[in-house]
Amino acid sequence: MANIILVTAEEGLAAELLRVLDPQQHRITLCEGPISAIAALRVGSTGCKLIALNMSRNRNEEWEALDRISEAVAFSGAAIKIVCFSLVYWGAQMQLAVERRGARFVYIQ
Amino acid sequence: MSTSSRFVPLLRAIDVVVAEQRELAAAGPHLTIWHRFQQQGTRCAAGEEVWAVSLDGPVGGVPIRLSLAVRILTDYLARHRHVPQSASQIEAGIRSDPFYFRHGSNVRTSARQTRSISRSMLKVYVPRFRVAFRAASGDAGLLVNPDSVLISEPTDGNEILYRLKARVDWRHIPLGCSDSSIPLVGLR
Repeated sequence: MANIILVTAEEGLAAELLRVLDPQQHRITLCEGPISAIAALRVGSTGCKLIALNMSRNRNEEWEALDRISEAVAFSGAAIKIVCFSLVYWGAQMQLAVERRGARFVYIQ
Repeated sequence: MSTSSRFVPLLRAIDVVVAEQRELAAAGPHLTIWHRFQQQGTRCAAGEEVWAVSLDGPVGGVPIRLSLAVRILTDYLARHRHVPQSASQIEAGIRSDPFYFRHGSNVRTSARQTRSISRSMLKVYVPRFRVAFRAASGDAGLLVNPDSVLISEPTDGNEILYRLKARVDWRHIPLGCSDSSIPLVGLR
């Protein structure tokens, strides 16, 4: 079991993911964007171990969100991992760019 | 493909990350310390050089950019990682160990191949290690807090004890092995 902050603006996907993650006994905090994710991160009581970030659109704001969240994680000093996922395959460069930022990347078909 | 089965890769990635965090919390990150100029039939013998220290993460081994003095300190703390030691103990340990005072002497060079670690300089080297480790941990995809790797522990007095919390492997490069033929498995 892990405390996970799920960052996605897509409500349908969020509901679907909550349904999938629930039986795994993970505790999920749902956030629409980086601001609420960082706020959730700062609330120590969440005891967050992992941040799952939706990057399916591959837009600038999603990369900025990743950068802001990575910085917040680095400053927090806590051992929190970031896993980025995408429902769209944008090529190998996307995975490399995510991994260069110290996060993991998962492509969901 | 059913709705839930398409998320299997994400669920597996989450499982891996959670397992990795448990391992990190229990034993710390994995470091590889590379010794160069190894003579045949010896291992970690005096005369070898602490050539590099790398941090192993999910995206491979990443060299931690450390100066000679900090590499020597890291090697010493790695060998004695189960016993927290004060600055004086570290200084005495390094000065009395032939591995360190004959460091790199298997090869003659124009420059000195070793450093004597003093108590006062330790206060400089510890933050330097942490800065270099932080940079490497980002590159290695680990984001580990360096304070939890090179740990400073208070005592009942004024002394601070230092301890390296990490899993460590030593690898050796034989004397006469050229850089191009060094088997740097996983080292970027």
